[in-house]
Amino acid sequence: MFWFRVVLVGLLSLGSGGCATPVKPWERGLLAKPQMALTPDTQHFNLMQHTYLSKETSAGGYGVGGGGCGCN
Amino acid sequence: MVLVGGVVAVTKRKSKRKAPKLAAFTAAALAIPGMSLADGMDLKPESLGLDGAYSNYQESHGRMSVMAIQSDAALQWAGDLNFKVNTVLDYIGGGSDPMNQSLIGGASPVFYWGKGNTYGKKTGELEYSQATHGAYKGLKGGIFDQRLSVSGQLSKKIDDLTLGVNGGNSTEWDYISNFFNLDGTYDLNGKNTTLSTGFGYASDTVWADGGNQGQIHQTYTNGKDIGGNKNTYQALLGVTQIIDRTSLLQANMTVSNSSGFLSDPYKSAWVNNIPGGGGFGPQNTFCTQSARFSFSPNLCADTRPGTRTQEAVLIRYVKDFEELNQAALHLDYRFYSDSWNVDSHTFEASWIQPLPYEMILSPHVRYYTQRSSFFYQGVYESPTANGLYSSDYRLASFGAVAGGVSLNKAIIPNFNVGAGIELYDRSQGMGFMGGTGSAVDNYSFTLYSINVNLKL
Repeated sequence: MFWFRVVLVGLLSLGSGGCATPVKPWERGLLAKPQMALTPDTQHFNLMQHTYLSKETSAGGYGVGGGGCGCN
Repeated sequence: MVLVGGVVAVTKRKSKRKAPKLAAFTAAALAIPGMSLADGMDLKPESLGLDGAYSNYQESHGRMSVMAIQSDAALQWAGDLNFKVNTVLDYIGGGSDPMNQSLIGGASPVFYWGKGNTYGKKTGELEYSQATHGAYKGLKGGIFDQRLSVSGQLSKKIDDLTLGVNGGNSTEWDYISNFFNLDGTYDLNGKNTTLSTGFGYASDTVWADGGNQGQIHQTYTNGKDIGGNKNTYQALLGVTQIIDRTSLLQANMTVSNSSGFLSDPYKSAWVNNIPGGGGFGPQNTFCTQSARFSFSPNLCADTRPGTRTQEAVLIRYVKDFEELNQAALHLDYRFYSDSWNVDSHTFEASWIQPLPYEMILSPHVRYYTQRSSFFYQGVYESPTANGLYSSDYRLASFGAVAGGVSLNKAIIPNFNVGAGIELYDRSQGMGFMGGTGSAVDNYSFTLYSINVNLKL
């Protein structure tokens, strides 16, 4: 839990925006490209997350939500 | 499982007061992609997007096969209201004979025959077979199951705040899951930063299919149905930060708490040195037994703790390479830890390369490693003091490498087709987290998929 708390503090610090120079709206053309989406292909991403969840015991990080599966 | 993007900033805005070109430019410039419910669909306001995919999953040695059909529909209305419906239909099969190693079926083998066994294996050697059936398919086992998952999402943007709600149901012949999630995001720092939070609840019921598409339940030797209910609460806290005009960073933390029946209803574990000497004969008295696997007192039903807390930290970095036709590099790292003493690391990298003729090539690689849970054993040398037993390979120590590539092409404007392949190889030797595992659990899978995307 210690490291999770450290990361939490880091998240909040990052959230302050203090570590980056603000990018103006007219400078965000590249960031708006589809390939720059954090999850460019949501449908395939969901399929792979479900597959990994049924084969590995780890879960989480990407978001909340969804039910479990039998995955026997 | 249906994931809801943990983050989010829907920043596209519709402005009728701007000239069309300027409005379009502004909408693109303000957008932080990949964070809306219409994620990846690049929807225009008041437009409809339809995504469909067919995937075929095959494990090595015929262990398991899945055919998955996905269909998603998304509608963005008035620029600040999003609807989305997702459906997934899985057909699951695999294995035909639980005692035939070359035809091991199911996502999970297995119990391991203990030393000195005489049941079809060489006496004195550590052997294994499939003490799991999955959804029922005949007396010899094997798996045959279907899953239908339906979920709906709705989100509304109110200035810098975006609120979302998501709910759904996933039903199999041996599993029902109902889930409900809320998430919210808040843009600040001139929309350079997005804070996100989410809360999820899932109520699941699991049992062991004993026939008639799950209408008949398998039981323990005491006559009680195997299975039960499970409640899961999840929470997320995250931040997405634009670093510069070509890169952004996301950091998420999720915590999940599950309680109830967390065991595998189909599996059993082999225990040596039991009271009475073991072998074949009367039911044992030191652990719970599945009726189906009660032919030997050495077998104990998969029994895990009744609670589990799971925590994960995810870091994602995305970088644009303008000089390479605006290709994008995606780097993900996740650290995971849970109260069953499983820790894991996941590293993933992908490259999205726009090509001539409206094509996009996307190769990627992935590495995963985990430590075994504190109660996992391939074979238990004696009855445990805590009464916990599981030989589920998913709780073992192992590593896995994976890679794949997909190619998408716009056939005509607003109509896209694509195809991809995923390769996955799991091996005990590839892990570095320590713990207990076995090379007999090694396997690989291949997943082929095709997809179509339409915008109306």
